[in-house]
Amino acid sequence: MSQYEELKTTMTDQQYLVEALTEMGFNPEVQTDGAALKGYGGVTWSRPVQVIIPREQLRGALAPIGFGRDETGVFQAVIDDLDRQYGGLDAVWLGRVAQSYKERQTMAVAKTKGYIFRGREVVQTPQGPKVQLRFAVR
Amino acid sequence: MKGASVPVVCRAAAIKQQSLLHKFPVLYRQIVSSYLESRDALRHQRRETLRNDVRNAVVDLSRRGMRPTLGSVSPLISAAAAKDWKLIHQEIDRSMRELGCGFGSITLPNGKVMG
Repeated sequence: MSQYEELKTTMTDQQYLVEALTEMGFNPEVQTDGAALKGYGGVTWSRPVQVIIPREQLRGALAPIGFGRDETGVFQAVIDDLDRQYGGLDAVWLGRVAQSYKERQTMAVAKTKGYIFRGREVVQTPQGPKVQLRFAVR
Repeated sequence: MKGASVPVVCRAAAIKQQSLLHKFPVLYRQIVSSYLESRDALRHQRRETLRNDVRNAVVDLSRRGMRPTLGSVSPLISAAAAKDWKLIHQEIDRSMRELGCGFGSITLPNGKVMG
């Protein structure tokens, strides 16, 4: 039987997390009070998670993915170990979520500071594609 | 054996589930994934059948001037449809709304009026 594992992230804002997941084509469920996760064969994660991607949206996955706040308010990803190891729902996938999250957060901060958005560019680096956002001062 | 569960596959192959998981984790995941996919598809199909059956039943009963209830609709549902009284109730409600039936409520077999 597989089991749930917790993967660390630095994401703290639920709104940007939900937007990032939506951008990636998911329709995440938000459980304000938190909910437990249940996977195949009675696999459970009892610590409450606030954002859930249902299994049906994760093609071929054995279990839903959850994002739950830890005691410091940071979201930690909860992913089935077989899905992580063999289903592509790994640290690289989580990195894409974090990148999309960061993009949204940066856009929001820039907007509050009055910066004008000038464009978005994907730059290829040895570490993989990176998104560069360009802003101008008003 | 496409769509078979892990216990069924393991019984057929005469191996333990734990052995399959530890020695062939990729295969284990594929079997589970395929099983879950086929189960989801079956559930979806049964729900669709229920929706169509209830809709037809509601149309039929309404034409005959009868109120569609859980008791009157249930016998008209085919064996391939999902069998869950809550789902049947939901589908009766949905069909009546979609078809604009003049009944404002549904009477359950126990006499309780809902809606």
